[in-house]
Amino acid sequence: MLNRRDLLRAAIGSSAGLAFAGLHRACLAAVDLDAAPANRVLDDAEREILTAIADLILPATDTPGALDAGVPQFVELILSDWHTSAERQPVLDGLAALDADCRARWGTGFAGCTLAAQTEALAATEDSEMFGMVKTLVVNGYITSEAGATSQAGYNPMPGVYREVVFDAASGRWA
Amino acid sequence: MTTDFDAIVIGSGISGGWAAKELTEQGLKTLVLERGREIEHIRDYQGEHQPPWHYRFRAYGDRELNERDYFIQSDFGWFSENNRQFWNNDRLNPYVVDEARPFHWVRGDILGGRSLMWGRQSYRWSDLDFEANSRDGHGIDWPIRYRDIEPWYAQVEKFAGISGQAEGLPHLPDGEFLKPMPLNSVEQHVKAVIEKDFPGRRLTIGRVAVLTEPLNGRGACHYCGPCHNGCSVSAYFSSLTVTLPAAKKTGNVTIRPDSVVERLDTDPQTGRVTDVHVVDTKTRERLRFRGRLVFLCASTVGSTQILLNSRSEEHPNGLANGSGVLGRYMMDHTFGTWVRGTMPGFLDRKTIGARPNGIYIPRFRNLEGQDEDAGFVRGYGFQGGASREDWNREAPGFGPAFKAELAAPGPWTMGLGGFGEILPHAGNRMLLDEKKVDRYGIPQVRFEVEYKDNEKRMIDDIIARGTEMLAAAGATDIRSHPGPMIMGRGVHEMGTARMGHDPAESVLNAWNQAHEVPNLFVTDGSCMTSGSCVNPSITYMAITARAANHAAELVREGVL
Repeated sequence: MLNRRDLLRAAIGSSAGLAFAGLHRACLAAVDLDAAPANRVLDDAEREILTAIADLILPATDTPGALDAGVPQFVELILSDWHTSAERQPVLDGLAALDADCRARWGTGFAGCTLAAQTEALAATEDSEMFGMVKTLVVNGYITSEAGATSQAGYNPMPGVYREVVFDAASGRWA
Repeated sequence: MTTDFDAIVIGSGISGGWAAKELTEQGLKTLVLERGREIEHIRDYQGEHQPPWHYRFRAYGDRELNERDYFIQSDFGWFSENNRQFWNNDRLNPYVVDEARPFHWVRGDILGGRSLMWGRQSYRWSDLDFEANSRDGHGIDWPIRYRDIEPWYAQVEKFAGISGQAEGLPHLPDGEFLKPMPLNSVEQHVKAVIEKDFPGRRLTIGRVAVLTEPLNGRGACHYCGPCHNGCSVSAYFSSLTVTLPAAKKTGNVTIRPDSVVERLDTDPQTGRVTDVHVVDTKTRERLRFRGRLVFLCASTVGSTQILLNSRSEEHPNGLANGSGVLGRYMMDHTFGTWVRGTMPGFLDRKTIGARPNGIYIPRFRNLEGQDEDAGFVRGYGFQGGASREDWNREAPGFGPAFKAELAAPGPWTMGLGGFGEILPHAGNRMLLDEKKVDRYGIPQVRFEVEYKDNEKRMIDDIIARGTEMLAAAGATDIRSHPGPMIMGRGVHEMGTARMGHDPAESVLNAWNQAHEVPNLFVTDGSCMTSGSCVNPSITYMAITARAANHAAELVREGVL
């Protein structure tokens, strides 16, 4: 796979952009992208449940899953440092309800349940505000992550062209 | 640094850049004053080609910072972490509105102004626009016609680089076009249906100031998508990369960023502008510069604010405001009205590349007099396009099947956004607040602006006609929204120092020269006598180049 600099070079055939590509990254890197949230709003149990939910929504398949893409950390960051406490409350309430549901039915919290039980319990929350918010955060976190975005079939940040391609059923390729 | 110049250009955006280029090429020693900070091509495009994972909050943005400092700008469509450094700090630059009549003042705060972040759509006006006011009686007659500006359109288009398709429409004149960007299959289908089922309507590829082939050392578009993050190959037009470098090449230009213009002084004897009062935003020093000519290109609101604040004994209502119309007749384009639907089929097709452009459906309402079924005057155009849905779409469930569904190209959707002409209403105005001042002690601008009945009826028609076209093209699940109906959201504010024949009812003459101040020219959006429904920037470019060459001629003749 070409790296970003190669893509840039291939696309524009110019050194003008390249000289500064590294500088841009250096400027931006002044912020620690992976630092823990400034606000701590999740306890370990909630974090564990969210991680399990993210894995259920976007599991690793032939492409990386939510856990490979650091999605739980991103979801926690947005819930903690981006949302207001009122905005995040439905998520916290929903996680608690989901956990209580699992304890009532299977005698253990969500994180300790079997995959089948987790899937069943999560499916029962699909109409809830918690599920809608978490699903959106997981999907957005995934597709804006390096592992998620770059593993997509159409990933091409420096296309150099706008054109239409047609799917050829015989070869299974777009051309 | 010398303080005496042949010409002073206030503002370095779309208009100021052209004034600087033309005046310096005519041999005039020119000072360009810009309120924003200096930025450098390439070096200051920190967000160019940056993927979202290089930002802590990714596409969500730094909410705390944006709500504190960019509460107006961050509401604008393509403000993002990748380009925040270009935009105005709203906390540091306050203005006054009343809650019932908001105004969104979208501003740059950099050398090159909004030309770094503009939408790049470039359409010539026609006599349908220049004669509009005289035809239906709203507003005053323009002192110019299409033939007056036509050669200047050609000149600026050739230098700026506009890609587009000639269509032969009298009300949307063809220009000097680079090769057009392509329509995709769904857009071609919608075009065929519209042009067959709705006689008089046309769909074409957008005319856009983005190079589809190299021009004057600038590179062609590489279709990465977000032009407004900056473009290292300079494929889109900006002052920073096109007109200001041309001015520098003459050796006649001095560019002074960090320079807020407070007011202009005039000589009571000659009636001419003498001193331009500047606050250096870094040192807070107050400075004066003198020029034989002054070109006011500080944006519609900025230029009008400077004129209003140049009150004096001779000009108690503000400079060049004997008529009392300065600040009134503010227009914009209705913006944010959309119709979209799902287009069945075409699932064996998808596109590669992010085309920084879309389709255009030129105005088709009230072309030959008033349409019988139109409850409004003037008209609107549509911009939009078709694309396949991606990870942003809704899909039920979760797990491997859900993931596979989102990873595959989704259905095609086609969207149409209306841009409608807003009439020049005397009551839509900006003025100076009597009490509030900014951090430099300059009176804050107060806005009293709103959409009125003609605009609202037009928006109803935009939705009805957009819906009927998408339905005819086979769209399903058609949805629409009238939009926020907030003045300023179109970022096409104009008209507050209008041109006209009569000094009693206008600020500027047919050459953008102030009726009352012979060495003062105003060539940004404030000069517009009516608003048309097409994007105005290419007209600002043409009208500025025309005025600058005329002013240089007057200097050569010794008139100025």
